[in-house]
Amino acid sequence: MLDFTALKLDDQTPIYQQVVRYVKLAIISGTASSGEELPSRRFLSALLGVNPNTIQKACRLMEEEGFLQSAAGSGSSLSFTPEMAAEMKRALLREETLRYLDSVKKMGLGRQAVLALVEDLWAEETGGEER
Amino acid sequence: MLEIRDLQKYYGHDRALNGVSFIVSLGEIVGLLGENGAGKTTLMKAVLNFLPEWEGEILLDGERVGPKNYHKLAFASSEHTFFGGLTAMEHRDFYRSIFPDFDEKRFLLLLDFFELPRHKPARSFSLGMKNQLETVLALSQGASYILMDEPFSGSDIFGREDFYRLLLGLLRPDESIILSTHLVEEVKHFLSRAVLLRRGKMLADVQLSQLEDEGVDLVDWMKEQYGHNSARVAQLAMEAREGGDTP
Repeated sequence: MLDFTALKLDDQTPIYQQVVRYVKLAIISGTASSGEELPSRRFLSALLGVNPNTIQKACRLMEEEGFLQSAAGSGSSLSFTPEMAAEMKRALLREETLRYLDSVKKMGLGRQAVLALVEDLWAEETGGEER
Repeated sequence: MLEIRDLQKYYGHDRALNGVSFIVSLGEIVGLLGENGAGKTTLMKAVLNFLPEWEGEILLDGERVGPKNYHKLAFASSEHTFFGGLTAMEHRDFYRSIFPDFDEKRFLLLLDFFELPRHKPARSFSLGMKNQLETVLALSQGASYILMDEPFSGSDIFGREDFYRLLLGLLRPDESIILSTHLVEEVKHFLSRAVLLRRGKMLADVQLSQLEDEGVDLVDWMKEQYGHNSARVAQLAMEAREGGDTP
C-alpha cells in the first residue's frame, strides 16, 4: 500500500497535481512498485484534508496517463512497465529543468552564465566528483 | 436537492436577503461565505423555517419545509439548541427517539473525538464544548442536509483541521454540508463549492474544482469578487498620514 503520509501539500500548484506528482516521484525513485495498491479515495481525502472530488480528479488523471488501474468495487492499484517509469522520469526532469530555466531567465541570466553556475555548484556539492 | 429560489427577507426596511437563488445537491460541501451581516445566518434560518416571514421559495427534495421533512435538515450553530440539563448520552436517547436515522456509531465516535464527557449535564460544558456537542448532534441526526453556522468558535486550529479530516472520512455521498464560516483559509480544500454573499445579495457561486483548474486560490478569488485592492488600501493609509510621512 502506497504511503501518503509524507505528502505535504503547498499552495503553489493545484492539489490534484501535487498528488499525481507524489505518486510519480514514488514510482521514479523505486519506492512504489507496479501492482501496489493505493489507499481508498475516502481515506486519502481524510488524510490530506481535501475534498473527495480533488482525489477523484487526481485518480482520473493517473488512469488517463495509464499508470493507475481502478476496478469497480475494489480499490486502485499502480500498473506500469520499466519503460513507463523511465519516460515518467524524463518528463519530470524536463519539467523541472524548464521551470528552473524560466526562473533564471527572468533574472536575466544567459545560457553561458547558467551553465557555468550549474558546473560550479555541482563541483561544490559533490567535491569535484563526476557523478 | 435543496432549492433556494429568489429568497427575500426584510428586517423592517433593511433588506437582509435580496434575491438569493441556488441549488444544493447531495454530496456537495458548500461554503456559505461573506462578511458579517452578509446574510449567511438569515439564509440558514430561512431554510430551517425559523423566520416568521420571508419571500421566495425553498424546496427540500421538491417539497416545502415542514413537519413532514424536518428530519432531513440538521442545524449546528453557536446558539445552543440542546437541553442544558441533559447529558450527552441523554441527548442521544432523545435524538434516537425522534430521528429514525440517528447514527449512534457516528455520535459516539464524534463524542470521543472531541473528548466530551458522556455523563455531565451540557450546561456545565465550556463554550467550545457546547458548540462541539451541537455539532456532534447535527452530524449524527441522520439528516441529508446539514447546516453549520460558524460552528467552531472556541475550538483551536488543530482541533478544527482534524475535525474537517474526520468529516471528509465520515460523510456519505447522500449527505450535504452547508457551512458558513469566515475562516476561509482553513476550509478551502474541504469545500466542493463556494457561495459568496454580500449585503444580502449573491455575489458569486463557484465550484472549487473550476478554481483549481484555473489555478486560482479561493481566498484570492474572494478578494477579486469583492473588488479588494491591496494597493488602494496602502495608498489610503499613505494619504491619511500625508505630510507626516518621511520618504
